[in-house]
Amino acid sequence: MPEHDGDRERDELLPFLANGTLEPEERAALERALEEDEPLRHELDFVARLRTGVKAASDAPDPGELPLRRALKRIEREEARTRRPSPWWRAAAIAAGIAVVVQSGVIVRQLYAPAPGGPELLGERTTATDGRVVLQVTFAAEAREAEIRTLLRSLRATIVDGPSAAGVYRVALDGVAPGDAAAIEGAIGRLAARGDVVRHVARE
Amino acid sequence: MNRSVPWSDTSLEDAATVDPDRALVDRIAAGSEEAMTELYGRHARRLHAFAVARLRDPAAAADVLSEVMVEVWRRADRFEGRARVSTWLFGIAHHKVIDELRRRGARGLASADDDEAAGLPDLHAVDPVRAIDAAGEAERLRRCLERLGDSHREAVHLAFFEDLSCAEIAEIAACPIGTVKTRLFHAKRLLKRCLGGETEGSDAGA
Repeated sequence: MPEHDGDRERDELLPFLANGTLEPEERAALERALEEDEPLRHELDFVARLRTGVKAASDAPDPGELPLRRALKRIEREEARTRRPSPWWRAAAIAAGIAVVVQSGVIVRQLYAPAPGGPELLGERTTATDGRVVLQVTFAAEAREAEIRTLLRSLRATIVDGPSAAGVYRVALDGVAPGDAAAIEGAIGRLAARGDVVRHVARE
Repeated sequence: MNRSVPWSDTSLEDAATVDPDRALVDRIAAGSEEAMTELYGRHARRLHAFAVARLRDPAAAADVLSEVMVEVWRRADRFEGRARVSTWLFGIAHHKVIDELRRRGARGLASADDDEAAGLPDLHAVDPVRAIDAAGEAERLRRCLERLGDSHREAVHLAFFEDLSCAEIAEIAACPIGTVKTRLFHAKRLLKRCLGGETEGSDAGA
């Protein structure tokens, strides 16, 4: 295939012509081009054969019911855990850990707040997010409170809510503007990179 | 390559309005295990095949499938119906596979998008039809697919095995449409090279 821009663009559409998902307009334009372009027809032939080959080459076995049974069992365990009262020492430890993390977040916010907010600043740290970017974060079961605190402080992040029944916390990014996609992706990437502390992270 | 594409969120929304899986997700959000079982029955094989294609490990793929179903249960009440349920499921599976690859430490080895095809020999020297004909055996193609980077293998699987549109693949892989096209373009060239090389008798399976 020649490497002109137009050729490349047409070439890139061939997989979607072959799998039948091209929109009618693009399909018609591509079919017109194919009538006059023999190398492009050869390429389409290759793509079509590749598609057939990929379907034939798939050797995935039937997963059976086991993955579903394991999922349901895990859900049942998680839901039972949230219903059952925790041993007092465990509940106390979790509460203390969360208190420290939230407190750290408040300290960080106070350090970086553009202007002293007085009583209003303290009032903001419950569930109100006031337009801040909020992430949903599940921490790894084995993560230590000190690790969570350090990670959140490094991101200037604050826990504003949680955990939910499924163990999800809402974490606000204090130093990131809602429109700053790169900074948001960066923060998500940094959280996701700490697989030992963060189990799951996504923008709310 | 800044082309406007006619397919967009609008067509995805249209698809979502007639999505038969939507009612199942609503029932799952209300706590129905029966709906979970039905949704699993409808999509488990495809999701498992997707994970196997990327992880090359059926057992690890089964773990991913299990994780996907747990995530479906947790997130069903937040499903907005902007895309088809199957696209949503593949999107969850995509992220779970990445988690698994990260655990293995393999992600960085196989995710190049634009540079992977650099330094390829002259592709005009390879007759694509002859290459794919001669490599007709599934095993040979499988070996070549295994040599692709993860993002390329994912794009090939979703386009050629699942027959998904470019927009759907972009949504699943959480990347721009142009990136999907680039990945497929390079994956196709790499496969052609690999199949051509095997046709010529080199040690392509190494």
